[in-house]
Amino acid sequence: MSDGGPLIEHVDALLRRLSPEGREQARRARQRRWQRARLIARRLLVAIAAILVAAAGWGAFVSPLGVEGVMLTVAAMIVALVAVPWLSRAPSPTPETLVRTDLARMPAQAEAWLAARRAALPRPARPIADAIGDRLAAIAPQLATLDPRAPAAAAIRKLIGEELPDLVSGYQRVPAALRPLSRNGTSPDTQLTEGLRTVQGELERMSGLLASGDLDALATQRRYLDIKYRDDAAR
Amino acid sequence: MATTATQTDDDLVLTPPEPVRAVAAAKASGLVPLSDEQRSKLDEKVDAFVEELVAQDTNSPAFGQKVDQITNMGRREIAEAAGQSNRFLDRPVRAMDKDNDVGADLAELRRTIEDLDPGTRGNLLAPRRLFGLIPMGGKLRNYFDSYKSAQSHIGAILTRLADGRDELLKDNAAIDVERQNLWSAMGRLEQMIHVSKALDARLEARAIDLETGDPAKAKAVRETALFYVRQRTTDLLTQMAVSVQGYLALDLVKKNNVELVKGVDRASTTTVAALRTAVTVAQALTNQKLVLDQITALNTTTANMIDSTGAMLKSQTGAIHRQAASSTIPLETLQRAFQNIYDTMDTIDTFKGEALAAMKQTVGALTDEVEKSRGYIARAEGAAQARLAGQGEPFASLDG
Repeated sequence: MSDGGPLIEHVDALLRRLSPEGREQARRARQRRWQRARLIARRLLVAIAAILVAAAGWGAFVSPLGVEGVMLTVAAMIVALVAVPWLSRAPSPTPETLVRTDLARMPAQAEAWLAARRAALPRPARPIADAIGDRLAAIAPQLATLDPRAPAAAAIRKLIGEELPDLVSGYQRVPAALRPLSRNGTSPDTQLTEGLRTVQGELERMSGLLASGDLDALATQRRYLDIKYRDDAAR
Repeated sequence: MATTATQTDDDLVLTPPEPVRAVAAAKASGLVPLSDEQRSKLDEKVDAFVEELVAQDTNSPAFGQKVDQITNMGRREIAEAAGQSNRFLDRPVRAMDKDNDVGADLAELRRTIEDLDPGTRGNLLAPRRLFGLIPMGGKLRNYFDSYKSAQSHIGAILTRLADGRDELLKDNAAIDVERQNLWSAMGRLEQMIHVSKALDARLEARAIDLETGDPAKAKAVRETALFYVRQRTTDLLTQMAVSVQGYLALDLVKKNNVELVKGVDRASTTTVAALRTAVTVAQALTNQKLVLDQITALNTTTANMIDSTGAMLKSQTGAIHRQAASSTIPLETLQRAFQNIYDTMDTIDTFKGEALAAMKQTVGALTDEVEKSRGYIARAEGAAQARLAGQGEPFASLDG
C-alpha cells in the first residue's frame, strides 16, 4: 500500500505511536475498549443474578432443586458466560452501519472506522486521517447536544456518515498497483489526500459554526452585564 | 414652587429613529474600509490568477477549471452573510413584540395610577374648608387608604417593567454582538468585491492586450471569464446591500430600545416619586402615617437598577418634604406628581406609534431586498453543487 520498504513502515508506525496525537488516539481507543468491557461485565452480572434468582425461586416455590437443578444452574451460568460477550460483541462499523448510527455516537464510530483503514492509506494521507480523527473526537460533545433535525446536523451526518466513507472506499476500490500512478495530471493517492484535506477543513469549519451560537451567547451576556451595570452612555 | 417638586431635571424627549431605506447595490461597497495591506495582498492573488488563466490554452480543461473558480468566487462569504440576514430579519419583528409587552405593563400601570389620581376624586379638597372643625376629614383618609391596597399591585407592575427593561438591554447586547459579526462578514464580502472588481479591470486590460496577438483568446477571456466575473460582482454587491441594510436596521432596533428604556426608566421614576409625594402629603394634610412598604422595596430594587432614579429621588425627597409641609397647596403637589406620570406615558405612547411606523417601513424594505438576494444565493448554491470535490478556492477572504 505504500511506496517505502518495511523499515520505513516500521519507523513511521513508531513515530506515530510516540507523537502526542498518536498517544491521544491510542488513549481514545483504549477508552472505547474499556467502555465495551464494562458494558459486557454489567450484562454478565445481570444475567448471572437472574439465573441465581430464578434457581432460588424454583427451589423455594416449585420443588427442591436437587443435584440436577444445581447442575442445570451451573450449566446456565456457563452458557451465559459464553453467550453474553458473544452477543454483545461490537460489530466493527461499516459505511452502512455508520449512516444509521445516531448523531451523538457517529464521530466515535467514524473515527474507529477510519483508524481501521489507516494502514491502507498512502503515507501523506495518514497524518490528515489522524487529524480528522482528532477533529471527530473534538466535535463529539458538540454533536451530543445538537438537535438531530437541525440543518447543521444533517450536513455533519452527510459529511462524516457518507462523504468521508465514500471517499475512502472509492480509493480502496482502485487496484493497489494503480493508486500511485498518475492519470490526467493527478494520481488516486493525491486525490485521496486532497479529499481528506477538504473533509478536515470542513469539519473544522462546522465545529466553529456549531460553537458560534455559544460564543455569541457568551459575548451577549458579557455585553449585557456591561450595558446594565457599567456604561450608561453605551445604552 | 410646587411645580418643580416632582418635575425631573430635563424634559423627557423620545426620538424615534429614521426608518432605514433600501440601499442601492451600486452604493453598497466601500462602507467597510479595507486596509492597504489587504488590498495589496488581494491584488497579488488577482494578478497571479489572471496570469495563470491567460497562460492556459482556452480549450483545455485547466482553463475551464479556472473559469469555474470564478463562478465559485465568494460563495462562502455570500452564504455566511445571507445566513445572518435571515436572522436579523426577525429581530425587528421580535423587537416590536417586546415593545408590546412593555406597552401592556405601562397601560396597566396607567390604569392603576388613574384610580389613585386625586384629580378624579374632585371633592378631596372639600375637607380643607372643614379642617378646623372636623380634623382628618374622612374622604381624605379614605383616599390615602386606597394607596395601601394599590401598592403591591404597583410594585408588581414596576418589577415587570424592570424585567422588560432588562429584556430590552439584553436585546441590545445581542444586537451589539450580531452587528460585530455582521461587520466582519461585511469586511469579507468587501474583500471579495475588491477581488472581483480588480479581476474585472485586469481581465479587461489583458483582453485588450491580446486583441492583436491572439484574438481567439481575447474573445474567450471576454465571453467566459469576464462574463462570470461581472455576474459575480452583481451577486456580491446585492448581498452587500442586504447586509448593509440589515446592519442599519439593527442599529434602528437598538436605538428604539434605548429610547424605550429611557421611557420605562422615567415611568418608574415618576411613579415612585408620586407615591413618595403621597406619603408626605398624607402626613402633612391628615397627620396620617401612610406606610407604603413598597416604596422601600422599590428603593432597593428599582432605584438601584436605575441610577438616575436613585439620585433624582434623593434630591427630591427633601424638596417634597419642605413643600408639602409648608405649602398651602400640598394636594396640588400630588396632582403634579400624577401629571408627570401621565406626561411620561403619553410621550412613550407617541414614541411607540412613530417608532412602529419606522420599524414596519424598515422591515418592509429589508424583506424586499432579502427576497431579491435569495435568487442570487440560489445561483451561488447551484455553482457550489457543480464544484469539483477537493478543488481549492483561490480567492478565500483574508482573516482578520
